[in-house]
Amino acid sequence: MLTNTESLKYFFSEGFLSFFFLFLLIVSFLKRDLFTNSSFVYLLGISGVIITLILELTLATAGQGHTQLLFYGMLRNDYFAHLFKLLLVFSSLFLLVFSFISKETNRKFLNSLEYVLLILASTLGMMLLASSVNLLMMYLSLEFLSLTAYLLTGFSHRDERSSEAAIKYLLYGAVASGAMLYGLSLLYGMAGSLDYFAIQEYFAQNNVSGVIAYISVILILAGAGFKIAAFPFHSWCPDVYEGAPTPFTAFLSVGSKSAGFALIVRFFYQIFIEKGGGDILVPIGGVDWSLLLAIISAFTMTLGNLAALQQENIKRLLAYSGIAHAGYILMAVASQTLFGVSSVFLYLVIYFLMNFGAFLVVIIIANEFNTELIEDYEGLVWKNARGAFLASMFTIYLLSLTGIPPLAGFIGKVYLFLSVFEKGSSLYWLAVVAVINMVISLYYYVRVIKVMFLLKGKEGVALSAMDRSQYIQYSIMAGLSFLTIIFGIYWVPLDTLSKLAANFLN
Amino acid sequence: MSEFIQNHILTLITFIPLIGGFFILFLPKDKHDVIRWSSLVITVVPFLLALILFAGFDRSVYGFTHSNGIQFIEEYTWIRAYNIHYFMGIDGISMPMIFLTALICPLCVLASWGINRGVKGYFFLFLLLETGMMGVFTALDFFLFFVFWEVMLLPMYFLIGIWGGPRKEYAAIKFFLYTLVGSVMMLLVMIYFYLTSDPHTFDMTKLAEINSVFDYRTILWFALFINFAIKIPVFPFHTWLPDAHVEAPTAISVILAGVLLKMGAYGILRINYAVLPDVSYNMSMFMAIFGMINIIYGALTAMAQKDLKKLVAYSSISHMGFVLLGIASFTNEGINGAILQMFNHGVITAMLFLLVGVIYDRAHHREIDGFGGIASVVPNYAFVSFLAFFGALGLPGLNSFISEVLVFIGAFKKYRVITAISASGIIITASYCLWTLQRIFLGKLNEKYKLLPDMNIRETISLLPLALLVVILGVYPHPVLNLMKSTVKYVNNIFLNMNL
Repeated sequence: MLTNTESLKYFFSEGFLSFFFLFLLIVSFLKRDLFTNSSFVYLLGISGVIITLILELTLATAGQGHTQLLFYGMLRNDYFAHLFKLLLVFSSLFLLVFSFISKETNRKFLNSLEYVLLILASTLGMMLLASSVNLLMMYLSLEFLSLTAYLLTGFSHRDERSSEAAIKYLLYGAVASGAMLYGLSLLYGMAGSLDYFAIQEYFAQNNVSGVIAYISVILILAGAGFKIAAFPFHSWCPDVYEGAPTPFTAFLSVGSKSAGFALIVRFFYQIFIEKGGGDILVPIGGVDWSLLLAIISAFTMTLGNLAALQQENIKRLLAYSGIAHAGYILMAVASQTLFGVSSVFLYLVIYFLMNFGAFLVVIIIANEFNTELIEDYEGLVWKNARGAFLASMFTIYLLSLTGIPPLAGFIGKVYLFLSVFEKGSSLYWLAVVAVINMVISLYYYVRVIKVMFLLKGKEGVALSAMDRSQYIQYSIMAGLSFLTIIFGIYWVPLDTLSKLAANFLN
Repeated sequence: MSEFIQNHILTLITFIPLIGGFFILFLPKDKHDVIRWSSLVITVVPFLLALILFAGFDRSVYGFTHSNGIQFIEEYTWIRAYNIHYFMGIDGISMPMIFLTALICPLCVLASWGINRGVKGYFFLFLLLETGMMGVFTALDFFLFFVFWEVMLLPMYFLIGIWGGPRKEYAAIKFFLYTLVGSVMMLLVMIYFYLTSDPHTFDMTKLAEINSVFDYRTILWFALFINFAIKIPVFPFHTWLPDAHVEAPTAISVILAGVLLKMGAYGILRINYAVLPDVSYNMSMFMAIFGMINIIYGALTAMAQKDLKKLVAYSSISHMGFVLLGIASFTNEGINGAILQMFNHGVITAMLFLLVGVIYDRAHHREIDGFGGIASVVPNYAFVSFLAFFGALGLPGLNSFISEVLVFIGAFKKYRVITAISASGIIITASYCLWTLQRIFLGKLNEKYKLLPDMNIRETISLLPLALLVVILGVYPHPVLNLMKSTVKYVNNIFLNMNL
């Protein structure tokens, strides 16, 4: 356990980000007119995030797998934290780049500096969340992330949907985090400590009666489930996704969700698990959270998929699909195996690729047609070369989300199923529920493909041709789909990384 | 060079279409003829390779292990951590199917000559489809098999959905959903096999060897069987078939009926029989009954059809019933007959769909009653149609006769009543085939079609090889039977030695 000053040298990526954030903030007070050019502001934000990324990468590789407890046991620097932080910073990077590309953000935002600042702040919150091993620290970073997210959701100027979404998000979030706080206090009352390891030790040594622990776990799940949009805490999700600026929706569905999963995995595997001999994980604490999560997972994916069937708005459709995917990932969390933990990370990386890809297409289409309705995608592929490119890319992402080989989404699903089966026969039913859901999900993903490919395009809605200035967008899109295909065929690099993520239990 | 081809022939036969497909993508969009001719050349290459396979195939090997029974093996580690291999090889069950696929694909390219919207995309997807089909028949690693199995779905969806008939969207998504329901069940079974085997493996030969370690055998068997039954298709999972076949463009109907349906039966022989032999044996009666239902139901429904293409589609259901009955018999004759029937049905149904395409291109409808007496106008077309329909009804001297007789001989040893009822399907088949011929070709000439042009060179070339096979295999089936004989004997001996 390191003291505050000793910790700083393991904290320099977050440290840099905080410093950068404060620096920008102060400079902007002093010299307002320096930041009127929004491209400049975005580039500033992007470079800040890239530097954070590089610093984090150095830290992760230089650490050689050693773990440190920072700030008297508030944060834990291990591979799990590093990997998740990298994933989260990457998603912030994509958020900034997407916002830069999107015409919607340029049109609706009064001030891009505040937007960028808020993104930097929420990045910091997510990074802290991924590494916190103290109930209080975890709660604070969760709130940090949530508060910035509320603001970003409502950032569009004079947009009723956006403001409504922000208020909804705020109200749901306040209730959820209140419930969570109550759960945390119960846990503290039982174990007498805020530290994950102390609580784990308490559970390992004492036979606690299930009831209080159950109540506390369920209440904490309300807060965490809200973050990942799991049933029954999901109802904010479609409205917020629809109302928020599209780049931020993409971020919510990937970055903020990954952070939520980092929280859940850390919480359950660090407190309610004891490592037995070999790689056997023994659940402790008298709470059957595997079953609890399995039930939530089954409901989440079924509800997400059923609701997605009828959506007319592509952002809402992706919102419900995101709910369903949270359900899939929860399967692996429920498995109580090391393999499950690495599957969570692996799936999140793959989900990152395909979901950001899908949202990028949505953003570009919105730039062009100013629409989010699926019916306006009609005959996209037949319009011109650009339409064909966009439609083919979108098809790859959507099929990967369904889980059709040889795309990465399929590999992700195989890993989830493997972890469920590894748990043993008690969760076989969950795998069956999940495959039924896969079939349901095919229907709505393919419906979008159908509209783009099978229906004749409407007359009069032309698509502008490829434009030299848009090469960034196309190369990002092609890169994401290339990775989606490559990881579907050869995923060893991902596998190696995700195996590292499960190391934190040692 | 020749050594390279010898060592990698299965990879080449599988992936040349895909590589060619990418080549097609780079051709100029408007040069339709260039795209067509290159596709033709690309699909002929696997056919030539299949001829090499056919010549080099050792017909006497016996068994289902790496050293014995599987030929032209290519095995490389793909993902070491999960023991996934790129493992390809063929035996007597897959060899006829590969030959059939390689033969039908170039003919389908010829039949697709009339496609003139999105030509590039069409041929790219078609070639991707060929890779998927070849892969299914050559893969012996379950994971690889599954990937190829699913890879076929997507091109099929687009090929039906974009270039199909009036209800194409409905037919395409129905096909996709039905098949996916089956394959996700197979996915679960695959993962269960993998985790239960020790050391974990996807290798089908090893899974077959250690098959006794698996629990929940009946459930696993059913999950696999339903997947394959959807593909065959077995009643009551057949409802996707008439829609897909009718709406698909001609060449794709040919592929669907000629190759895709065979994958169901192939999968049952490859996985259900090899990995869960005891359950398969116990379920033989069950399969035989469904085979019987297929034969009778398919034939009766075909008789009631007014649309020629639908009639051919339902006749496929009926003919695939023979396959199911044959493999359910667990006799040498029955299984040989079933595989031969798979091959023969592939040839005949391909002919029938091509013929339907020919008449549809001219008359722009497929109503059986809308023609009449056209034999005098289009004599060549009529001749080939008679040959194909006679082949379908199992006329002695044509290929189906031999396979159906073998199936009945095999099945009669075990199930007298079921076989007897199934045999009556032959009569129903004969009646709808003859009735159709009569309504279209004989009788009074429909004045509307007085000037109907006969088949052109391209169409004749696409039908000729198949017509020759119908006749040759009807007289001398040994070239195909020899391929499978010893493998079938091996499969059957497994069951004889089980002492059940």
